[in-house]
Amino acid sequence: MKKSVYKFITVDNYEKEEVFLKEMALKGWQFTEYKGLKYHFEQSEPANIDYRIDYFDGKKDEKDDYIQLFEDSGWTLVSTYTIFDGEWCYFKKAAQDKEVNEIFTDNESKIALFEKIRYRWTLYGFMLMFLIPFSLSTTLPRGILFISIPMVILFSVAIILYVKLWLNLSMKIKRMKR
Amino acid sequence: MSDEDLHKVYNPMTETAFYVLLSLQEERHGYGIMQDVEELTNNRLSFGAGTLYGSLSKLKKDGLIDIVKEEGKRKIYQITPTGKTFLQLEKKRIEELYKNSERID
Repeated sequence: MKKSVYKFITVDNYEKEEVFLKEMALKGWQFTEYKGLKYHFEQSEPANIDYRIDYFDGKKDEKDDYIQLFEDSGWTLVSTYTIFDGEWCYFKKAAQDKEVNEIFTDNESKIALFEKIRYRWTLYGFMLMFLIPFSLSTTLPRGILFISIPMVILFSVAIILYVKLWLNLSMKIKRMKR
Repeated sequence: MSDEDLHKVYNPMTETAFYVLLSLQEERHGYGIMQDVEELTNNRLSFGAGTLYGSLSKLKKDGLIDIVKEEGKRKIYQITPTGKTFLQLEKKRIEELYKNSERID
């Protein structure tokens, strides 16, 4: 049996995504892919699985080597999700009794990932900010308010989310640098 | 990166960079580095795949290591002369640290 769950998690909180996927596996739902804003699952025996997510933005000919390194160290690539000029890679590994499986074992590498995400997502946030005046200037003079009002609301929500994302990531980076 | 910038990042360098460079005095693939460093440090340092890959791509971008060949899907890495220079600088720094640590009572 399969099922899909709609869940809204912004990238600055991707660790919550890892916890969510683990909890689903414990309940007998194994993650298969993220598609159409939904998490897709397949029913199985309840299992204790660690999920880890990384953002790969290297060159195409580097990806095989990247995935191979994860597989050599016991991770299985579950699914990828392409966004901007990189992709989120979802890895899984059976949980161990003694220690938690981690893909980042020092602060520098985790900070590097957060900075990468912050840079990419903020860039797109700025682009949205330029879209608002542009869309208003095309819709307002023609009196199509019923289009421009929802547009302003939509863009405002997006921008608030981007600001929250930037602040949250910056706080996490600061905390780790200390 | 300019020579001055390289010094800022790698002199001194992180423990991760140090062990990756040390291990790559011989050519190895990513997982080979992981195993080598675990052996060298009695499992104290066990690199996560994300951490190691991040370090490899940064060291490669900065010209301290290079890809020398490929074996199937795995790329084989090795230290470059620039990498060796910085590893030597780090060695001098650690020797000084070690010598001065004798003063701890």
